[in-house]
Amino acid sequence: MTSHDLVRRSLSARPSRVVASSAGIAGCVLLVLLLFSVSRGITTGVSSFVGQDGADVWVAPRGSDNLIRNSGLLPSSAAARLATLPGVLRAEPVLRGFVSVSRPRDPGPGLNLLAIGYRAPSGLGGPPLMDRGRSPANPHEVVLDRAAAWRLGVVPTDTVLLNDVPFMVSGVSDRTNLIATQFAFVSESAAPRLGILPGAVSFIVLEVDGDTAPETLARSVSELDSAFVGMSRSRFVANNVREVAAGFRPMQSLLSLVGFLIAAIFVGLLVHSAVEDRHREISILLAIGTPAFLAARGILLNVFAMVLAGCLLGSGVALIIARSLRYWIPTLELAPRFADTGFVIPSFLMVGMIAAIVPLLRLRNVDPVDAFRP
Amino acid sequence: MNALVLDQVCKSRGSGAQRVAALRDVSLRIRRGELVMLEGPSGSGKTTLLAVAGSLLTADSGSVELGGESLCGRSSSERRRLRASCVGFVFQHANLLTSLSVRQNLLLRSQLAGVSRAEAARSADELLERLGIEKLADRFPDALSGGEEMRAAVARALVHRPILVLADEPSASLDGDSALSVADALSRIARERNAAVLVATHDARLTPYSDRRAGLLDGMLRNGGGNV
Ligand SMILES: Nc1ncnc2c1ncn2[C@@H]1O[C@H](COP(=O)(O)OP(=O)(O)OP(=O)(O)O)[C@@H](O)[C@H]1O
Ligand SMILES: [Mg+2]
Repeated sequence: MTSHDLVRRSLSARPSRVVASSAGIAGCVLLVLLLFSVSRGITTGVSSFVGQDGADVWVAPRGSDNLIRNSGLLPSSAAARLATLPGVLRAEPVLRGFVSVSRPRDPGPGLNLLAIGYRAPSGLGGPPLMDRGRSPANPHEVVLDRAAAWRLGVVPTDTVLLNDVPFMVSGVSDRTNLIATQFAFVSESAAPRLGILPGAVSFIVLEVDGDTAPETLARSVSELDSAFVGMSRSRFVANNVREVAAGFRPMQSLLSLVGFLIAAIFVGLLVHSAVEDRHREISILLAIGTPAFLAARGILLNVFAMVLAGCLLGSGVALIIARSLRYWIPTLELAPRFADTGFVIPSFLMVGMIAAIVPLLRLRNVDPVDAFRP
Repeated sequence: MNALVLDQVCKSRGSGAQRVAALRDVSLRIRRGELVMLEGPSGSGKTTLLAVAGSLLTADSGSVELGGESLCGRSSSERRRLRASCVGFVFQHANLLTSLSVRQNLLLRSQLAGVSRAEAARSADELLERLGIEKLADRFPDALSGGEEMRAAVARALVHRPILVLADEPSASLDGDSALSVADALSRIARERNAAVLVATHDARLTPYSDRRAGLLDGMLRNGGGNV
């Protein structure tokens, strides 16, 4: 071992402190990572629906730029008109409206779901991902979001009431939870049964051929008729994410900041107590001729190791918790992503090292003459 | 050749109302291979004198020479380097580094003095054997008796072949036999290696191992300062 290693080892913290410190850091990392996956969970619902394959351009009535807050309507004849544009392979209507969903003979208030009417079973604007069962095959079937089905306590083949009209649950969809509400998918032809205005649609979804850029087509749509707004898929996804995340982002930033701040204070205290705890060792090291920077480096490396251990522990626990909560409590839409750790761990290490600077300066107060004391 | 020369050294400790003149006009000279006992009651300034001699404290006035090199006007890193290579300390209560094994304590000390790793390992093993604690090389200080620990501390003070060894009450926590064997080993090996030794103590059992005795009282050297 080199003198560097020996100095670092001589300043290593007691095992109980290593465990406590790593656990504290792990707690902060866990908090921040869970916040990240909650945040992504909130936007996943809307982005996987509007970002689904084939839905290359979304056409909305002027004044609407997202799915969540949207009021205007387009004439249903618009689909046929847009289908004639060069590069368009398919132009299909999507209707949206809120419906009250309950179980028959259940006096409860039911759930308010965002109903989507589309050209079932295989048209554009259907469920992006099925958890169980299949898409609606006729005007009497509905696909419910996983969390909504869980809350209603229904499974495929059960009957539910949509605005008091009976529908059979043909399947359960995944990634369709907007937290505040969930999606329900019905056939376009079921719309009249739900009292959704006939003759009008909320959006027209276009699929384009490989030679046409969605952005270009979106622009041509907007120019075609002042009643239309064409948006490429990426644009429309961004609009919707903005809409659902707008309320949550500031809170997420604040809470993440608190997480980082707690971790910074924690590391500061860790270094502070490492210097206090190892006062005797530091004074002996300095007395026998150890350069002060080697002692500082030793303490810093030990703290770095504790922070890293805490980060890895916290990340592991966060991923496990997020994955398992999705199954135990489907209404909690967590979307953990391994890549988040790639951001969070280096950030924590950096914050930790910055927080270590001030307490490390206390090393200057250690008097090598103290080595003579018992 | 003189290993240590103190000339009219004054040093006060503490500040403000707590300020004490710990050393007053102390002049002391120790030749290489010589073992000097520094005796004096508690609070007389023994530890302060060792700290000044070992360049851990700078004198307020007067001069200090280590192995012919003056400490006057040296930067703290120069003093550290000089201390790392020329001085060996035996602290009261041994004060080994508890997270390192006995052998690692010695290896670190040698490497700090600039000795290569291979040479450090060789001289650590040789010294541990000389002191009869080669079997304890891989033990940690917590698992040693007081006497064993003090012998390991003596090994650490000598392993890098310093020209001056400063020992502060090395026998204070030891029973009769251990105290004598530690003093014997220290004086024998230091003399073989031509190192000067200054031992602060008020333990009369150690007197036979000394070449000379110096008495300190209220920060003033009463006798035995050598031919200044
Ligand atoms: N850090 C300090 N601050 C203030 N005064 C100090 C400090 N260290 C030592 N002193 C004072 O300096 C004087 C000399 O102390 P020193 O430790 O050198 O004595 P000593 O001879 O080694 O005593 P002992 O035999 O008890 O170890 C004492 O009066 C002591 O109170
Ligand atoms: Mg003392």
